Amino acid sequence: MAPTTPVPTTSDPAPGPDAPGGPPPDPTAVEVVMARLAAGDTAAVFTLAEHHGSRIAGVVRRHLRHCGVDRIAPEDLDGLVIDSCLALADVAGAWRHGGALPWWWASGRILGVVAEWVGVHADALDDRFDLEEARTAPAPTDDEDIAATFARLVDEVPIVGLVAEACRVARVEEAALFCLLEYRIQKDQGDPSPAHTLAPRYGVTPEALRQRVSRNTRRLRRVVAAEPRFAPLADFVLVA
Amino acid sequence: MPAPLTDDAASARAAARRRHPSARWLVPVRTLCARVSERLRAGGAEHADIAAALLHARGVTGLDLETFAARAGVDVEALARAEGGDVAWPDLPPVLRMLVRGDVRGRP
Repeated sequence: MAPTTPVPTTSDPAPGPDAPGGPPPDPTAVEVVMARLAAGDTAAVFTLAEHHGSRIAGVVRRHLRHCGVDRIAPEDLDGLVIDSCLALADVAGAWRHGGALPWWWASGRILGVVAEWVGVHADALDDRFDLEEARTAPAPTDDEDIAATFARLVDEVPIVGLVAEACRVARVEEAALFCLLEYRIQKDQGDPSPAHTLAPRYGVTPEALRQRVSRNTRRLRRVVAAEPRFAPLADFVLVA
Repeated sequence: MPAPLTDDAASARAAARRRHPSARWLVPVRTLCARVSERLRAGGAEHADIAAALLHARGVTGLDLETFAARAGVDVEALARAEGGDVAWPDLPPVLRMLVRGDVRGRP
């Protein structure tokens, strides 16, 4: 009887060529999986889904709840989790071990997957709703939150007051400053593409939003570099 | 007949069920293979379904290409070509055909 070929399993991983004698790395560990995805190993998508899919599903469910979706058919959830795994695979090269877990680091991207599904499956819009107006105007509630918060901080925190003054000198409009702030907040929360996340809110393309952010950041930097009174802002996140 | 659960007890039981391992998300293998197959086909793979099934068979083990090929007793290049969608079913090494068949049998 011919000997059977053993089917490889994760229960007996072979030590890698560089193993110093210690235990080999867990091939299903998130940093190993992300490294393989970044290297273009498509098989790692299945590893990600098999061994971390439950946690990705948790992020998807959280975003669905925030979008007002409390119930979802199992097959629709499956599709969203799979799309989220593929989205993580697309950006794996930018993830760094030691920070947020990938499904939180790319939470904005997963939100995009969910939002697109919600947009397709949402109830029909009221005929009186002006879609053009909705596309060009940012959500007023969001503006008020950032505007109110910024206005309060200008009075309470000296460096924020200095930022407001620098923006006035640099002729950076208030709306543009809020866009800069939101862009930065998104980025710090782990969104790998804040422009794609924010563009619909501002009614512009992602490229236009990036140019707006870049242009106004350059204006602020020039003013901060030129005037000694703005020296404390040199390392500030908006101009650094 | 046991007494009906109070609201608090029912809520606690529902929360416990959500935490139970049986509530974990189960990978819909065929759907995932189909999505990966679509991507491979869009990238020009001729035998994308076979490639997706092989990628799944290796992916669930977590092993890299070289280690998996060594364990399965197949040439690394042959496995790479098959995972790239360049090998038709009749030309697959027997062990890879066995893996692909075993991969889809009985899974959702």
